[in-house]
Order: sequence, then structure tokens, then C-alpha cells
Amino acid sequence: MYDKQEGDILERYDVIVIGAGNGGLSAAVTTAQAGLKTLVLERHNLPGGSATSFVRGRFEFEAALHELCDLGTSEHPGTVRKLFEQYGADVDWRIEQKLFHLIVPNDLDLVLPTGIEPFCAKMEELVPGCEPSVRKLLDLGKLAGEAQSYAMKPNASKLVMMTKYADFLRMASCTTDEGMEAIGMPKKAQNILNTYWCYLGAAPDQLDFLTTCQMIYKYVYYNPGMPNKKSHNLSLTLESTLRKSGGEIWYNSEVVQILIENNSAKGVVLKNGKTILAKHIIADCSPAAVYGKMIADDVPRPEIPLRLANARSIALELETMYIGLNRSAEELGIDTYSTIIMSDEDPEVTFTKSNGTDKGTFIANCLNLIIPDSSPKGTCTLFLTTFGDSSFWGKVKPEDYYKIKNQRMRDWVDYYEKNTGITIRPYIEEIAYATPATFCRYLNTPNGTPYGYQVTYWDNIISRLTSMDKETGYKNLRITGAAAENIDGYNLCYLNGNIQGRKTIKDAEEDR
Amino acid sequence: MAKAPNLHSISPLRFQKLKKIREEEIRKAAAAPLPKVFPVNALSAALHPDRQYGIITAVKSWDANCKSFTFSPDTSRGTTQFAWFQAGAYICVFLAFDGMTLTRPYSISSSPRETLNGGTCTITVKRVPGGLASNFMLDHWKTGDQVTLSGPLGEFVYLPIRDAGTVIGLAGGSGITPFHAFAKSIVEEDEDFNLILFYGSRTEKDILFKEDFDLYQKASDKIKVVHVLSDEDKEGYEHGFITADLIARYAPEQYSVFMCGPAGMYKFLDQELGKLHLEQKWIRHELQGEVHNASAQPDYPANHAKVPDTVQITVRICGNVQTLQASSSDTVLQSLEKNGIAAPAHCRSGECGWCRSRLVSGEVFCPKQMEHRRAADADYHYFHPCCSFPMSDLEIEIAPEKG
Repeated sequence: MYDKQEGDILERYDVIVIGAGNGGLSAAVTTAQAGLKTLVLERHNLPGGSATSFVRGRFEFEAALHELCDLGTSEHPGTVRKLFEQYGADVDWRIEQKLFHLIVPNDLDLVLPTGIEPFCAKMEELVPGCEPSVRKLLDLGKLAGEAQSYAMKPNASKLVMMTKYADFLRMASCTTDEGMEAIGMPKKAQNILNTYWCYLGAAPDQLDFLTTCQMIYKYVYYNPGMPNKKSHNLSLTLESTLRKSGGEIWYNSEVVQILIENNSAKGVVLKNGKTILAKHIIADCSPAAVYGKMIADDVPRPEIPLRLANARSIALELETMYIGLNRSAEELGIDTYSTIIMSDEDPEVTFTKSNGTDKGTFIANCLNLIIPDSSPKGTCTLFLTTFGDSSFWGKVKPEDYYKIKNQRMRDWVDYYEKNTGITIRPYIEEIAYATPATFCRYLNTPNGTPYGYQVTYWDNIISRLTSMDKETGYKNLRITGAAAENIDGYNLCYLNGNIQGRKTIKDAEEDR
Repeated sequence: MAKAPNLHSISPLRFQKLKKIREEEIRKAAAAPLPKVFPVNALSAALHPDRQYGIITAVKSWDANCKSFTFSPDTSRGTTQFAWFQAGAYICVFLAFDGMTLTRPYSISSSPRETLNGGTCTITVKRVPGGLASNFMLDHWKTGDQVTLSGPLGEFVYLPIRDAGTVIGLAGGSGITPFHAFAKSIVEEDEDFNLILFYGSRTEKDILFKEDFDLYQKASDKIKVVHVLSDEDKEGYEHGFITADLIARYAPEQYSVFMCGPAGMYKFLDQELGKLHLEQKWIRHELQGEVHNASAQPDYPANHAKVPDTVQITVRICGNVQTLQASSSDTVLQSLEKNGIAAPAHCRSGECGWCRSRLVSGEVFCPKQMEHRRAADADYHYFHPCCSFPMSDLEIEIAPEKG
């Protein structure tokens, strides 16, 4: 029927991937390497989504949120390093040796190292008596990975899961608060480790213990790190890998509609009116967008995904500030890559205060500490992050927008200086401030969130992973990205893309 | 002995309930249609439209070679309101004539407040000898014509956290346009800084916006305009060129310098500013504009084999392939435009990256001063056609222009 429509009909692809974010790129490389004719359509003129960079004056600013958490070494590779190696994508990785510098004004001021032993020793020094529970948490994090690999095997047995990996089931079914209580972790140690809630975007009374243990273990054992030439490098190495496998990528090519016929995806329509057909579609988009506006109004929505989308809430928004300073990190006294300022020791308090005004959570990254020459000699960059507030920004009038931005730039710089004792204001050579509206401009996600859907107790990683096959909507349409099964995250989106890429390959095999 | 920490107090059987809880949450949620637009996305769309459609509602001729064009929103083509912007921003004009598709950036000379309630937006165009776009606009554009514009763009804006409380503006010729927006915005209280503007013109009659600036100086004690005439010695005007000595006579202890004008002016003023020993952060240049004549650039590869006058460029766009003959003295972007290919382009100065394209094969030369690519882009053969000259036959892949 599409042959009769107006507009150019282009040739047919095996797979169309909508969006060149981390999930889309990873999915596309996966299907292209399996010999499927793959086309990626990206509305922006760059790949990477949040994992991108931009140039202002003599600075190139990293925009990724934030670092990759489980790189490992070439001898003991973490999941992301393994995935890139599997793709044959070459990356010059740089590893960081500190986890973070945590500041809670008038309360805590500490730096946590990576490595199981230094980490446990430091925690014991900070909270005497906590070491056994901290070790247990790391053991659980390690076990979680093993159990998850086992559970994904086709012949995985329930009995083995109930016996050998019973703790996996326990972690998956309790909240972080419950889990930490169960292993007898002192409250202060809980608060320190729960600093990581801000990287998962959910408070410890909602976040499952499995995700928390896994993430902390990955950070401590495998170390955080970054690609030498910024995350744009990762996108381009994937793009180049995609091309080598015969895949294509078109920029400035926004998909406005996914064509559905007989409950099955058939192709897409671009903003310029062009229709392109494909046997399989992978949307690296929010389900809110897919089921909200990307399918014609007269096509019935599949019930479960629609109810699911209504049951979920859009994840937190972010506000970020990129500062190029005309002094080196050393001259300024910045000595840690990640500094996290929490307005309160209790993560549940900072979570409820997470918006641009209260700065409940405030993260400052200086990439020069991982990659000294990531800005010109004698300079450094600072990347500040706090959670945004869509209910505020949604009411801002365009004519007030830049005044608010100017005011907040002053507030943030003051807040950073006050809490770190480091003076930066006189040295600001370049500065850019991304509000949730800026995120909308470049990501086009609902209210600009980079994080998909809010992670809750009933909608955590394991719940998503175990139900994903039952919650699919139209045939031949799969959704990946930050809202997908492994939840959001710089590294997790690459994994999400890989999962949906592999499932699409299977779909294609079944078609034959 | 204390018991080793464990999770035994939590039953692994709870895991099976998780599935039921999820199913219940889904079951009890509404099957209502999802929103098509979210409030922050609406704000973003209002601030950053890809396209704005206007109608020319006023033309002011300064002389035979310079006109201000005022646009009103063209509701017939879906624009009811021009986007708010920061003073200093530019917009691109999209032109199509004689088989060419051109995009040109112009600083907005009107203030953002003028756009409110379906209001107007003004650009000021000066004739560039031999220039394709400026000659077309000056000779053909008239009241009632429809125009296609981009959203507001650019980084030549005042940021109080970064810049000094006083801005020394250095303007040459039509480089006055963003300063007109700055001054008017100071009067309208959308900007808050002291502006000491040095405006270089040949003679008194070449001064643009003279009456406006006289008014703004009267309306706000934050604005001071110093006219500098190069070809005329007249009472009430400085004579000669804008120099370090002249700036030092008016400047307070701390100031930022904002510069807008032709490339030759930047070269001269950068030398002059060197005498004032300012840190780089205090000096900001508006876009330097296109570079012509590749081989005259100081870093042109001297020992390179002679590049033929005409080269062949194979262009891939979204799976389509076109081949065109290009002059090696034109940038790659100019050749695309002259051949009617709607290539993405905004700043035309190497800075914004909007024209970012992939060099599949061949060699290009980009003057070092225009080099603003991301580090990884260089490794993966991405280049900016707006400031790159062909040094051989090329094959390139470009994105289509949005819109």
C-alpha cells in the first residue's frame, strides 16, 4: 500500500534504527555485523545523543553523563570494554583511580579510592565497624554479575537460581535500603555508598539492591574511565565499525512517523516526507514518544505498552554547566575528577530536593584529572551537574530564559566555590549552561530527560529484563536506549542496544 | 563471634511477587493516549526553531550599498512569533536563485524585545563586492517579499559571570549591527552592562544607526559611543583608526573587548590589543566570516603540487550520489551552494560545526585559524566544508539541510 503514497519511496532495508544515541549505534553495529542491511536515521547532525562534545573557543567540552563505570583493564575487561572489543571498535581508554570526593557541608568531606582493599580500608576508617558489611555488599555485586550471566543462558535452571544464586533473587526483590539494613550496614556507611543514587536517578527506598551492589562493585573493582578523545570518539568508532559492515547513517534525518500495517512495523516517514521501508525497526527513543506521537493517531496502540507508559513517570531532568578555565587544575587546587556535594547526608532528602534551585545533589567533574591534555596547556574544564525541574522550566517564558540562565550561572559558581574552597570565577574563559530545554533541543526526549523512565521498585532492571519479551508492542518494532531494560546510563545504553540488536537478528532468522 | 553479614532475612521467594506487582501496576494504569508535546520541549521549540518564515515589512536604505530589512512573522507559512534571542545573536537567511541555494548569517540588529507579541526582527546588509547573497538581497528584496530564516544562533553574547562589567565594543562598518542590539537591549533592561563602543567609519555619512545611538546614549548612562572616522577629520569625532591608545583613554580598569567587523579589522585590532596585555578570556570576536583565496593563507602547504583550477567533487547525501565540477579557489561549501545543493551551513567561519561532513576520499585544506573541529572528528575524517578548500578531487558525504 505504501507504493501508492506520495513522496519518494526509497529502497528497503533489513533494519532501520531510529536515533544514533549510544543504544541506537550499538544496536546498529550488532545487526550490521550479522549481515543485516542496516540504516541509522538521526535527527541531529551528530551521533551520540548525550555522549557528545562541543567546541567553544579553544575548549572542547565533554557532555557525557558522566564517566563509564566498569572499564576494567585489558587483562580484566569490564562489560563496556568487552563490548567494544567484540565490535572491533578501537578505543584509547583512560582510567581514573579515585571514585569521588564527597562533600556534605558541615558534615562529611572524604575521598574514596578504587580497588577492593583500599576502598574497604577507607570505609572502615570513616565508619569503624562497617567493613564486613561493605565487603559483603561488594561480594553481592560480584555475585550479581555471575548470576545474571547464568540466568540469561537458555538452559538456566530454576533450582540453581534458588540455591546457588538465592542472594541474587533476594537482591533483586528488595530495595537498597532493605538490603543495606539486612547486611547490617551502619547508617553513615549507607549514606556514603548511596551517594551513587545520583548516577542511577532513583532514591534508595525505590532502587533495587541488585542494581546498587552491581554498580558499586563495578566502580570499585573495574574503575571508572573515559575515552581519550572524549565520548564523541566512541560514537565515531562505532559509526566507522557500522560502515565497515555495510551499514549507513544519515544525519539531519528526523523520523516523524513509524508506519504500522496489520500490527507490524513496515517502515518510517522522515520529516521531509520521504518514506523508507524496513523489515525491522529499532527505535532508540522514549516509548513515550513512540506511542505518543510517532505512530499515526488512527493506528490502535498495543494495550500493555500503552498502560505501561501511563504507569511510569518520566525520569529526572538535568541541568549542566560547562566551564573552560584559563588556569590548570593544579593551579586552581582541583585534585579529584568527581566531586559530589550533597546538601544533606541522607540521600532520600537530597533526592526530594533534586532540582536546579535547591541543588540537593551537585556534581563537579574535572576531566583533566583523568586526561590531562583534554584542554589546552595551562587550562582545565569543569563540568557541573545538578538535577533539573521540568515543572519550573515548563513555565518559563522565552523572554525570561536567558536572565534565569545568567542568574543560575552565578548561583552555581558561588555554590561550587563556597563548598570546595576553590576560586574559579575570575578564570572563566568559556561557559555554557544546558537547561532541560537545551537537552530537549539536542535529545528531543520528553522534557529533555536523558534518563528514560524513573526507576522505581516495580520498574527496576531485573523487573524490566524479566518482562521485556511480554511487553513488546507491534511486531518488528523494538525499543532501546535509556528507557530500556538495563535502565539508563552511559554504559548501560550500549548494552541495551546490543540486547535489542541481538533480538532483532533472532527475529530476522525466524522470518526466514 | 559476630555473624557474617547476610541477606537471609529477605526471602528469595519475594522475587516471584515482583512480577505480580509489575503486572498489577500496569493493569491499574490508564490506557489513555500519551501526550504529544511536553512543556519543556515546547519552550525549547519556541527558543530554537529550525526555520522561521517572515515577510519584509520595511526596508531602510542607508545608501546604495547598505539596507536594513525588517521582517514580520509570516503566519501564512506557520510563523506567528519570532524566537526570543540574546542580543548579539545572528540568524541565517536562506536564498535560492539562479540554480544556487545559499545560506548567509547576519547579526540581528534589532533588539529581542521587538520580537514580542508577533513583533519584528531586523538585519542590516552591506554590499560585498562580488558577493552573491548581499547583491541579490540589496538589488531584489522589497517590501512584501517572503523570506526564510533560521532560528537565532551564535555565541557573541554577553555573559555576566564570564565578562567584565564594562564591554569595550569595537565595530567596523556593518559590524555595528550586533552592538545596535546590545545598546537597545541595555536601554530596554534585557542586558545589564556598561558599553563603551568604538565605531569606525570612513566618514560621518557612512555611520549606521547614528540617530539611534544618540538616543540610547541619552536614555542610558551605561552607553557611550565614540565614533572614529578614518577619512574625515571633524569636530566631535575621533580621527584615524581604533588603536590601543584610543581604547586606553576611555577604558576603566577592567573590561571585556567585543569585536565585530571585517577580517582586516580583526588583524589590525588584535595587534593593537596585544599592547594592552589582556588575557584571552577578555577578548571576544564575532565570527570572522568566510576565507577566500586559499593559497594566500599563511599556512597554505607551500610544497603542495599545484591544485588544478577545477576539481571534481562527488557528493553523497542520504544514499544519493551527485558529481559536480568545483573551482579549487572556492570552499567546498561554496561549490555545493553554487550547484544548488542545500548543504547545512550556519556560521561559515568554521566555528559552529553545523556543516560538519565526512571526507570519504581526497584532500582538503583548512586554514589553522578556522580549525574548530572536535578532536575525534579529525581522526575520523570529518571536516567543515565552510572553511575547507579542495586540494584534489573529493568524495564527501554530507547531511541534508534541515527544514
